[in-house]
Amino acid sequence: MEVGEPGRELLAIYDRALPQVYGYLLPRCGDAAVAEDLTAETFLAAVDALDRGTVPDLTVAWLVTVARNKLVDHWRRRERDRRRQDDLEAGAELVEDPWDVHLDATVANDVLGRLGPHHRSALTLRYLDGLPVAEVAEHLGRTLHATEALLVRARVAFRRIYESEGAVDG
Amino acid sequence: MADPFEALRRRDVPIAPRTEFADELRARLVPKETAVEHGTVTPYLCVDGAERAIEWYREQLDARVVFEPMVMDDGRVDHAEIAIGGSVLMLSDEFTEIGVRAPTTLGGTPVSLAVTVTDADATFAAAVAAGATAERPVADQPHGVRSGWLIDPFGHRWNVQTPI
Repeated sequence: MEVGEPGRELLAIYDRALPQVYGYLLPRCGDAAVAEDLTAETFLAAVDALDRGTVPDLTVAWLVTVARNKLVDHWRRRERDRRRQDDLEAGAELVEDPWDVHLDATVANDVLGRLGPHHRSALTLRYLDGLPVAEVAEHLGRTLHATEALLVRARVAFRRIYESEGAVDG
Repeated sequence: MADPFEALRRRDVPIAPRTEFADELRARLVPKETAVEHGTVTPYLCVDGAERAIEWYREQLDARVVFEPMVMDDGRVDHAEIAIGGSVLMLSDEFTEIGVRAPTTLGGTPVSLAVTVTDADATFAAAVAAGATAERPVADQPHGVRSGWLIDPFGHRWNVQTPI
């Protein structure tokens, strides 16, 4: 095998893929410095995967999947740090009342940024990315049941902050 | 009642990051190839079957082709260059009419090539499995390397070594 061939393959789609990967990450993490770090991690992981021959098909869509994994890893690291300080999960409200509201996108984004990383990643994967619960579970490394419970807690936490913002229109 | 959270679904649009960031990341993806140098003295191998030999050196010694084989009208390779690590080797087919003869024609070689690899045992074993003849097995040498000697399928002798 020619030395460095995989890197060249990736460079060939770099200009097209970079804004797509960054455009996926930036709105979800809301921080340009973090988005840049995760973008770099995504492309460097792609080089490694190409070297190992574990890339099924090098496409922009595949790179966005890698970016999603990096985003989840980032939130998982943040969550671990947070858990050392306190465990808000214990005894969390599990009753979810019906909620008829039209969510304001700007406020919703702000609320997501104020949630704990585990709630934020669950809601991002489920709703912003539109993944089925089973796939969310896979990304988070949790069981289906645990993921459903996490989503309930995440929605309750989201609603609590959203409503306290006074932005309810329904 | 519709799930209000469904309204969060994003339609992503491409966003260009800072140009400096894009350039820096691109540079990190560029494969780091070992610089290749033509030394003051460069081995010029004669082999019976230059194209097969290039393939064998590619597979066994991670050689890269740095000068595509120039093929004569009669199909013989007049000149080619490969690089192993940072060193260039030139090679050609046999041209017995001008005295350029391969070790297989001469019945041996007086010149050996020493190559440094990351794992002499592995390279040696793979080369033997791919048709080389083990001459002296890999062993620790008193001068601080682990090395062995083999004759490749084209008759050239290699000292395969890894610093200890």
